[in-house]
Amino acid sequence: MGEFGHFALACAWFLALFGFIGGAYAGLKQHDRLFLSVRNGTMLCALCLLLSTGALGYQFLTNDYTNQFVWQFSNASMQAVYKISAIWGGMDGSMLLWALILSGAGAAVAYSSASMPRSLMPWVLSILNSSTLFFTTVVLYLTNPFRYINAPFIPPDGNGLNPLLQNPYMAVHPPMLYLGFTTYAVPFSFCMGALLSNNLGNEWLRLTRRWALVAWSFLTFGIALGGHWAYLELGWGGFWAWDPVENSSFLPWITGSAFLHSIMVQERKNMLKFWNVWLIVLTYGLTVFGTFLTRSGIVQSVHAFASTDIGWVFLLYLSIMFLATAALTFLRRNELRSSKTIESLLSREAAFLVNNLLFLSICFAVLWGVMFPVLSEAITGKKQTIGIPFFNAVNVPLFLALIALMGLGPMIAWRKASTESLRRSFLAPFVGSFAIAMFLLWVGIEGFYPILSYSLCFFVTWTILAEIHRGMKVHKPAESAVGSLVSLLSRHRIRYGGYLIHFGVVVVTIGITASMAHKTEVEFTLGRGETHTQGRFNLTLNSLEGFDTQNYEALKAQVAVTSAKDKEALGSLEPEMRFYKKNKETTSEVAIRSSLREDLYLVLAGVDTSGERAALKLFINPLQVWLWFGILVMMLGSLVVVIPQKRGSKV
Amino acid sequence: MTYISFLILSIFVTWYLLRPLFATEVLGGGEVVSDRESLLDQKERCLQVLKDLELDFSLKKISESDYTTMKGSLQRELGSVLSRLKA
Repeated sequence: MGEFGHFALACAWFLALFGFIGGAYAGLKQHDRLFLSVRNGTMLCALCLLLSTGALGYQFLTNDYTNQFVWQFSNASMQAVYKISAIWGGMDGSMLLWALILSGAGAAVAYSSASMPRSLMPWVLSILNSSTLFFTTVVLYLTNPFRYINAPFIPPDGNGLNPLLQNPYMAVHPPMLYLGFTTYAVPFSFCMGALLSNNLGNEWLRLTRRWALVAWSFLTFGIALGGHWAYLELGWGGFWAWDPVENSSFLPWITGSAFLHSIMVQERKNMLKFWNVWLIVLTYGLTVFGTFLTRSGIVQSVHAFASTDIGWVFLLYLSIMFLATAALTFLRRNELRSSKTIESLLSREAAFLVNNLLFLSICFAVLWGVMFPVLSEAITGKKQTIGIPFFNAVNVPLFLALIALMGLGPMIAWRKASTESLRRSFLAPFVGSFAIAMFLLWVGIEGFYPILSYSLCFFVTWTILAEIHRGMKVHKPAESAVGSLVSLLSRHRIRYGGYLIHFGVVVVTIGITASMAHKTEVEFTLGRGETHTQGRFNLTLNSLEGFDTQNYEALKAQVAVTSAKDKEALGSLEPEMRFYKKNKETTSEVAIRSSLREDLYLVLAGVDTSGERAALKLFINPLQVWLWFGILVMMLGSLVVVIPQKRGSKV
Repeated sequence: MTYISFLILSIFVTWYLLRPLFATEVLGGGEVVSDRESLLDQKERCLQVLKDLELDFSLKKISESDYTTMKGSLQRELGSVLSRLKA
């Protein structure tokens, strides 16, 4: 099966090469038949990579340890789901998955290219195939997952997957991230196709807007799943540590978010053409840069793959990408020039520009934090790291400014807003937010940023509701409130879907602010039957038991949670410590009691030598669930925007 | 068995890849790149932008002169699309 997977991979490489060269030739000569052949080739490439990945999956499921990669990341005692997720548990398989998803996006574009402009599509497919060609080249020649094991005999069992990765989230989180990363190749390819074919109207933007949002949604969901995995699995009570690998997925999310906003200015005002081209190139470039970071070994991270020598290939690819974009944008500088300028700072387009500058400032700050250890070592010879305080100090005010803009932007008129309209739109929400800030101070909430954050969230929620209310008033005012609302939302689904995403961001912000600013963290030891009181809760250790499974040995604490006030039973928490026999690694399985108000997060940190007392670490994270709920609201909003509208609507 | 699977995959890839290049019949049906589909999409987009523009104007988020200019431009684009669809 390994040979077949390798052969299918080689076929995919050939097809990507054909698509790259053939697409460019078909674009130059407007050769219809060759274009259709490239179109078929692009779909075949995805099929071949699917067969190749399927062959690797089969080797994992059948414990085929003649394959070096299977032996390294799997063993017989692992559940089938983790054998499959082990495909992306190591670098070789993760690169194959990347190539597969990228080719899948290419196949989807190729399939739907029938209804897209002929002058543009050969170029688009050529660029998409060039990306697939790069990744299949890396897989085929540098990180081939079909290598035979270098041993005189076939080992009876494999090494097994890192226990931290034997988690359902790890089965979903990397594919989601890769879906986000690779889907950005589509708007990137349309952009390059538009530059190459000199088709620089707004058509390429209209065609790729949905793709850009799909990519952003997958990336958002992938990052959130990663955060949730870290929260459940790493046992430190948090979900985001500004780790270089986390940051590498966050960077394209930031520029991708900026792109989603700035394309609205181009669509509406025919401005920021040059900016948008660079923004999408930067976004796709950052997805590749993130791959370089995690695989080159230049940054240290718990999430990074082992250091390899493939980093230079990614740097070369990135350099070619940016040089080609620079050359093309120079060549098309006249077509990219905007005929209009921003007339007033109090305008929607100015708000979008500020929004973009804020996003890029965050991007720069995060990139600086990631690269600082590398740069400091290169310049001074000493590696200096930047920690969480730097990222929080720089990014928290920038994010809060973005939240403020989320409330301000949609209410401001295009071109120029009058003072009267600003007063009418903002006076009430501003006064309301100020009152909220005063109320929070009065009830004893401390800290400037938390109070500002809650007030701004209130402000944005008010402006969203006000916007819907105003829309209902002007849209079919004669109808009932419900009828008018339904009609308004269905008629302007993209706009109100966007507001739903904004509302999701508000909920996420409340969750992040509360869980970070008002977190409680305590460590204590308990013997059987002893109780610890923390805030509203009593925690009583009922039992401390060991047990054995095929894969690991475990020690489980059973802790009863009751109300400190009236002793009402609130449930029990059962944190575990596990020792994985094959990997000889100890992990901590946290126990969480979630409610809308707070998460009780309990970690079994250790036991004393007698085995009678448990060392426990307790985190009380207020409004933690709001963060995850907010992500779901954002996803719902994305879905509302992404689902195509039925044809035949009337104005 | 392995070599047979290589052969089957190779034949299928070659056939599907080269089919459009050597097809003797005039390209038609699902293979023809449909201008009509593209025009229908363009029509939908114009209509959507027009609806949004009207809402923005009713909410006083866009000046009358901008509204008139943009609406005129969109209506011209829509007219051109509709006439090409009729042709």
